[in-house]
Amino acid sequence: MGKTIKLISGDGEMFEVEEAVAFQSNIIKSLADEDNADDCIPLPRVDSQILSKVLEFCRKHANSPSVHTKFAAIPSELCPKHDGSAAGASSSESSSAHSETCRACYDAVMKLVQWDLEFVKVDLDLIHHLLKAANYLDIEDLMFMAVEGAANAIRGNNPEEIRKLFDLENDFTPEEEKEILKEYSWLDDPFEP
Amino acid sequence: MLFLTPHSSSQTFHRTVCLLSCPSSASAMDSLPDAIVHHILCSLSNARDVAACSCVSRYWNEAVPYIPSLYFPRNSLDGAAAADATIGRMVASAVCLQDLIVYCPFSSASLASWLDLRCGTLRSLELRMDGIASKPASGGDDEAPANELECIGVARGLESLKLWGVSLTTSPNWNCFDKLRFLEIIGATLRDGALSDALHACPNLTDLALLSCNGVATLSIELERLENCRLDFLGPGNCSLHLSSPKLQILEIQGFSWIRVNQDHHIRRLCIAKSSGRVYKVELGKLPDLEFMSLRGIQWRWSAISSILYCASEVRHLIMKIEFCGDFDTLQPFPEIDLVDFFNNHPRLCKFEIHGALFAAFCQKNSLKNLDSKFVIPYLEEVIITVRSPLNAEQKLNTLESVLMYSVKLHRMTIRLSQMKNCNEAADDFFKDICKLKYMNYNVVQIE
Repeated sequence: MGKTIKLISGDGEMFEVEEAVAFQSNIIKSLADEDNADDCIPLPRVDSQILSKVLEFCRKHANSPSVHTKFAAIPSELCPKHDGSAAGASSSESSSAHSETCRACYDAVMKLVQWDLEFVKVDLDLIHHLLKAANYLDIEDLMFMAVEGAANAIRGNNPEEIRKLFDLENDFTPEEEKEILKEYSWLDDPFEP
Repeated sequence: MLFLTPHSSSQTFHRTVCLLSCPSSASAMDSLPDAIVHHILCSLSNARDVAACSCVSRYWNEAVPYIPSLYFPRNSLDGAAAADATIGRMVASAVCLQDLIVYCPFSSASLASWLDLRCGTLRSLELRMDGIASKPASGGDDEAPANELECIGVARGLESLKLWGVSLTTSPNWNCFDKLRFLEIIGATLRDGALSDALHACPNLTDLALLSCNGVATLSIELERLENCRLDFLGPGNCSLHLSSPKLQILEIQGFSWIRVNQDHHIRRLCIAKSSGRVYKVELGKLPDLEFMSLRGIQWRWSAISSILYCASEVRHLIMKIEFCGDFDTLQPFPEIDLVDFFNNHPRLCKFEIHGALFAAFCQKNSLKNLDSKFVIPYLEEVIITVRSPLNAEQKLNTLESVLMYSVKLHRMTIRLSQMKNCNEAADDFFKDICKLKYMNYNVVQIE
C-alpha cells in the first residue's frame, strides 16, 4: 500500500484508504494538504454505510482516466497497455492523441462506464445519499454518475410516478393544474392519481 | 483522536446534519441542494420526460425551462393533435435551448419559427427532413418548392448540424456558419452547385460526413480545418473528388472514380472503396503519417492501385479487397505482384488482410534463392488471407510458406477458404495442402 489516509465517518467508523483513492475527493485532498498531524480526516456528514459505497467507487476510479474527459485527452501514462511496443508506437503519437488510436484505452474506459452504470442501478434512497456525499466531498465522477442514476429513475415515468419516487407533493393550485393539463394533454394523464 | 461510538440510527443522525433547503418537508429529494436538482433535470432531454417533469411540482415546473436539450423521437407525438404546436410550445419555454433533435414529422414553416426563437442559444441541431411538409408553392404549378433548409441559416451560432433525408438540390442560401465544426448529411439527394454553396457557408468545419447520398458528379472541398472526412456516394457513376485540407487526418470515401487530394495533409487513416463502377485514378501525394489503409472495390485501374501502394510505405495496417483491375468495361486479372518487393516497400506492416484475386497475384519473381540473406518481414504480426480458388495452388502455397518463414513476429495467420470457385479434385488437393501447412505451423495458422 502507498501512503494512506484515515477517514472517520459521521457515525465514528474509521476507513483507511490509499491516497489515490481518497484524493478523488477534492475536499479530502485539500484537507489532507493542510498540515494534519494525525492524517485523520473527520467527515461528520457522511455515515459509514454511504462512505463505504463512496470509497468503493473511488477505488474503482483511482488510476483510471475520468470517463468524462474526451477520449483524446487521456494521457498515455494511464493506458493499461502502454508498453511502447516497437511496431505500434509512433513518435508522432503525442500524449494528447494517445487514446484516439489506442484500443486498450478505449476498451478500459468503456468497461469503466459499464461498471459505473451498474453501480448506480440502486434504489433512489441510496442515490440520494450518494448525490449528497458527492456534492459534500466534491467528487466529480461520482456526482456525474449519481445524477445519471437519478435521471434514469425519472426517464419513462409519468408525473405521478415521478412524484412517488422522489417523495414530492403536487403543489399546483387548481388553476395552475388546469393550465398544465391543457398544455400537456398529449402526455398520458399528467395528473392521474 | 477518540473514536465516537456509532449511533444506533445512522439515518437519523445523517438527516439532522443535512442542510435542508425546505426545513418543513421531510421528503428526500427536497433536501437536495437546488444545484443538484437542476443538474438532474438538465440530464434529461427526451421531450416526454421533460414534459412529465413540468407536471411534477411547482419547483420542477420552474426549473424545466432551463433544460438545455430537447429530443423529439420518431413516434413521440403520435396522436398529438398538433405536433408542430406542441414542439413549438416546448421550444418556446426552453429559454436556453442549446441542442434540438427532431425526428418526428414537422413542417418547414414551424421549423422556421422555432429557429427564429432560439437562434441565439442554439448550438446543435439534428433534423429528420424526409417527413417534412413544405409550404405549398405560391404559384401552385411547377415552381420549385420553397427551400426547406434556408431557415436553418438564421442559427448562426450552430456548432453541429445533422440532417437526415434532406433534399439539397438548390442552394440553401446560408450566410456563414463560422462556428460550425460538425456537419453530417445522411440519405440526401444532392446537386453539385447546391452542395458546394452549402459547404462554402461552413468554412471552419473539422468533421464532414455525407453518407448514403446521391446526385453528385463532381465534388470539390477546400476546408482549412477539416480533420475527418467521410463521404459515401451511391451509384456506379464516375464521381470525382478534389480535396484540399491541410489538417486532414481521416479520409473514408466510397463511390469516387477520380480522387485528388492536395498533398499537404496528415492522413493517418485512409479508406477508399467503390462498390460499383470503377476507380481510375488516386492522387494523394506522400502519406508519411499513414497508419491504416483499406482499399476495396470491384474494379480499379492497376495504375491507381500501384501508385497508392507506392505512396503508402509507412502503413501499419493494410486491408485490400479488390476483385479486378482493367481500364474499361472488361474485367482483368491483376498483374503479378512480387512478394519480396511488396514487403520491402512496406516495412512497417503489422496487420495485413488480403482477398482472393489480389492474393493470387502475389508471386516470387525475385527468386528467393538469390535473395539478399537479410530479407525479413520485420513487424508483421497478423495476416488474414481469403482464398477463393485452387488455381495456381503451388504458387499460393509458396506465398503462404514464405510469409510464414520470413515474418519474425507473426503470431496469427488466418486463412479463409470461401466458396471454392472450381469444385473439383484440384480444390480438394489444395485444401489438403493448406491443412498440412496448418499442422506444420499449428501455433500460428488458423483456418476458417
